[in-house]
Amino acid sequence: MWVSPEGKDSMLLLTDRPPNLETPLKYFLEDYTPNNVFFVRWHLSSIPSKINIDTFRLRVNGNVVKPLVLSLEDLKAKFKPYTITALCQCAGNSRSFFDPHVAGGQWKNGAMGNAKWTGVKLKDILEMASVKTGSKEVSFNGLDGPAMQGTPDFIKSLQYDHAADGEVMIAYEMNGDPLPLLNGYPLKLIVPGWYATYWVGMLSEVQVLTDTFRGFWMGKAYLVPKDVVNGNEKPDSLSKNMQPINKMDVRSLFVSPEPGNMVAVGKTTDIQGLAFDDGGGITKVEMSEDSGKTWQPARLDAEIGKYAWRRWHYSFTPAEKRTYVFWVKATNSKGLTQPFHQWNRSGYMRNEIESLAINAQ
Amino acid sequence: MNYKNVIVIIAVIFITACNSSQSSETLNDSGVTNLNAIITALPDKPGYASFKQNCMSCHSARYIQMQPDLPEKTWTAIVNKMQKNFGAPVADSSVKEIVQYLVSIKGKG
Repeated sequence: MWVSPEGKDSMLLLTDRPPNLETPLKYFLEDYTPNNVFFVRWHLSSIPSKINIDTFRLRVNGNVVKPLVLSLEDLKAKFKPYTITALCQCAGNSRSFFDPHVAGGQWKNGAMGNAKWTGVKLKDILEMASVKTGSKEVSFNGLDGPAMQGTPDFIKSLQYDHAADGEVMIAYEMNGDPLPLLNGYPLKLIVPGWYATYWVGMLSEVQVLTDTFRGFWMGKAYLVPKDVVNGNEKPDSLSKNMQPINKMDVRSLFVSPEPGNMVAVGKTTDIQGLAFDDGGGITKVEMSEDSGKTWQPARLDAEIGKYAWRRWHYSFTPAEKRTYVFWVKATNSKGLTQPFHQWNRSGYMRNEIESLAINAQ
Repeated sequence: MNYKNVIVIIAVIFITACNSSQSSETLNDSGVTNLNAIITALPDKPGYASFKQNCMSCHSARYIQMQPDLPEKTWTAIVNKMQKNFGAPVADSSVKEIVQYLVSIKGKG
């Protein structure tokens, strides 16, 4: 089903309450995902339908000498603007492809987008608040809330050193414009290289903590098998040792042609797609026409940012009328690559090697 | 900051929200529709009343429609999770009915 809520063009609707909208594959032909089709993911059903920017404030408190209450104008006037290009990918992107199926948002590959984020480094804000010694974590809360009193509010946390690393930031612009309401207007936490569950939207409170944050959304939800590559486990022997999901694993996927598209025999087709990781850097993308027995290199476009995706191309000229099946695999600078098979109970971190059937006529 | 843009976005969203009750758009898998006008109904099978009362404050009908077919054991675990972890005020006596309903529309094996 397709929807066009205001401020958004046609998107794939997963669910309307809370709003979860997927970006159609064709928009990934653009390096920067347009704001009006950028994927939308909320957890709780009570979301403000408007924000009064004159009264909106970001509160910074907890283990600080000077708690801050900042308006959007304060963020623009009192801090040096910072811009970073980064891919935002939902932890559950591509969940619908897991076998056996798992419950949750049944995303295809469109729960991701790449954008230029402009705002303020969290480090600069923490410095202005004069963080006291003994700070261990920082928690982030937005204006969204639960419909039921007993439902835990959506709050995420990061280690203090990570939060203050000079890359984690609070964005007030996305691709040069204010964020769409459904993408977290007016402020969104940007955590380059980490799954989007940490990118809290409608961010209104930053709290510096002296202890580990034990809230539901860190302690019980968004957990993956601890220290296991690609978050893998088996349906009949679930991992007992779990940890909060964190950095994105290595991934590549097809963008064009789309499944079901025809290509012409004797004509060169540009097979293209995207590859990315947690910021380590994609060094190699390879294609296989024989189910992974042999691999040929794809061409990589220039990098557009350490934390952005990287486009790849592979020229293909079909010699005869038949279906050709391609596999794609990326490798990063640490030598990490993608698995042939992957599964976990929550359907997170999907990065199984993808295949595409191309019909030559 | 371009205030003009922001105000327009906010105004449009607000207007859309106000208009949603007047819309009579039906579910259409190929058409473009308004997010606020989506009305979906689920099959009226045993347990539907209990399901509506207990689940639909947080989950729209569409959220359930989207889910894969799952075994009764999995649906029971999910309902228990909603009750215990997510604070859904579901009476223990209703759990069985809700699971039965979910299995009847999204059951497997």
